[in-house]
Amino acid sequence: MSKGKILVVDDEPDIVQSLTLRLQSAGYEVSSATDGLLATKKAIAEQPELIIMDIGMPAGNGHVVVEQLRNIENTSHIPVIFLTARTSGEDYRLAREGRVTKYITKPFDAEVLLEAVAEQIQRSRQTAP
Amino acid sequence: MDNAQIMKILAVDDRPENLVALKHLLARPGLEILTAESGNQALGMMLQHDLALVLLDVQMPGMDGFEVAELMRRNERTRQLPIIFVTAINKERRHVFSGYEAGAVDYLFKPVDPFIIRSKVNVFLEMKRHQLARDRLLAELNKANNRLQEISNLKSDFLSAASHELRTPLTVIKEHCSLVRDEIVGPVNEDQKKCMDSALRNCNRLAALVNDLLDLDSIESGQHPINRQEIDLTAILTACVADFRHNCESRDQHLVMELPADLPTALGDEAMVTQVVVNLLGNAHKFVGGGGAITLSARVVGENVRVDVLDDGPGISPADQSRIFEKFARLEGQQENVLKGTGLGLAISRKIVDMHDGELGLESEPGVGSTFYFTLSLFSEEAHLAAFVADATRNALGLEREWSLILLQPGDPQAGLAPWLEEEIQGFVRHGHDRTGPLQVKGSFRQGVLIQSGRVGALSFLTRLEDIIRNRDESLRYAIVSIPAADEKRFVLEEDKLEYRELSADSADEGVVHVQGQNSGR
Repeated sequence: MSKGKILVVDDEPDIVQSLTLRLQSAGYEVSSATDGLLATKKAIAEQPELIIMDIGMPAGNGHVVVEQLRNIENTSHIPVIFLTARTSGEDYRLAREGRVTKYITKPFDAEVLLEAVAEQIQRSRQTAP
Repeated sequence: MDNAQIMKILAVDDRPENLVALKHLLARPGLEILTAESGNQALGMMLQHDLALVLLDVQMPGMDGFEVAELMRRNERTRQLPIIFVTAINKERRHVFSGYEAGAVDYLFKPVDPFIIRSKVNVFLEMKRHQLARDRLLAELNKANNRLQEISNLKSDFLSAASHELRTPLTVIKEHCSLVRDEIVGPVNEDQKKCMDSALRNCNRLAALVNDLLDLDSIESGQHPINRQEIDLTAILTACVADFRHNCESRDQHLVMELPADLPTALGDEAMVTQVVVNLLGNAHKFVGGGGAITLSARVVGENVRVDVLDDGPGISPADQSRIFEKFARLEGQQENVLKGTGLGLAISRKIVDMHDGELGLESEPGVGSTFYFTLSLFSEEAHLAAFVADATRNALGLEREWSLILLQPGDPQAGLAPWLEEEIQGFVRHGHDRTGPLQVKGSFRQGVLIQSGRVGALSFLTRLEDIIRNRDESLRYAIVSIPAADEKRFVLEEDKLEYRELSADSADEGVVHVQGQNSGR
């Protein structure tokens, strides 16, 4: 069994590439999407244990994707880590409301990210159906 | 130009020959004399023209001069218009208009003396000229103000966009450097690792600068939300020290924390207070140099708790002490070997502590060391309530509406507003300029509603809402805060004080609490 299956979503291919390399080297199985629509499709089809997602993307921003996933039975439990360059009042509010699993601000430290990933995967396995 | 402007006056008399005589008497370049032969005609013309003065015959058939004046007083547009009554009799009715507008009413007695009427008219024309000049200056001032506001908004937008656009490439650079340094994409030698470390360090510096610039801007422009709650300083300080321990050990610095075992809770926004502590610890870490000692302590002083960050570094000269809280302050005595910060940390910290009504200060002696400290209020229900209203007010003001109304419902945070109340509010907020939104409130308050409106009838809505709440047989209590824009003093009971009212269905003696105003300067 791999350390976990992760879906990486970002419209910047360079970020997808670096995240993929980082997570693979840490022992995770990684697939990726570069827009919100594709992310939703892959989440349903591949059933990742964790999604790491950018907020500002074409074809459905991160918040929209999370809303969709929460309303689909077999994706509603998947934890989401948001990678965000934005720290708007809206983001503060969502974070305070606890509607997002975790926020990590770009640019991030690899250690911080890996720590959050390990924690969320563990949680995901505890609550998985 | 003042002199080039044609001034208009209106002469009202039921006799055409009198009007002709007046026109002759007063005619001169730059002055247009309009005439009316009845009160009705005169009132119509007052609304059409921007007049400097009305010469009003008292004895007229139909509506007499005093009746015309009475009607003028009731109309917003003509209320301030100066009048010279031209009268032969009725001197005893003068008192009727003694309260009209001080200085704006005068009398002439028939037969009219040409010299006196000219000089009286001149006085009023001069007054009008001053008024026009003042209006023009005010308009220019407003224009300049609006322009400044636009520029300020533009700056904020630019900073926000720039920081967003900077972060993505910065993330890519940092991550790829880090992949190389961690040998994930192949082996690297020690020199190559050092190069990557340098690159990474500077990525972090750039990222910190971008964050600080954005933070400072959002705080300065009043857009940074603040939410003061009961906070456990012991937990916050302990977490900060744990985060810093590694940094300090890497420079061989001793980091000590001294807290009383029974440190009471304080009132603050946890994220913001943490940011201040991290900034102060970070500064000490940078300036102390290798092998120094840093002590973080806290103690109760009166109604406040004071947090000290003490170091045994080189100290700060008196000249620098006054400048150190400025943005990008470069200090005279700054040593070569100190680590570089963004130059914004103390400026941000001061703003944050100001928002908490606390004090951020410095005590330092060159050669001995420095103590940076800040104070926060101790937690109490009373202080929390006052802070809550102040914070909600400040957060609402950041949204720059003409006025706002905050409706709070203490109680279960999970329950929404009562449906009947929701209905009332929605009924009011169906206007393009109005809006409503939930307030994020934690602690002992249930979620409230923020209503913002530029509408004239908003105040009467507020009054009606109070009546409705008061008459409702509800055990729920509400706080209503009306927040005026800086120039809307009429919503304020006392200047620079905000009105806070707690209403309850069963208590007749509702208390009115005044909260120190947050509206000044907006």
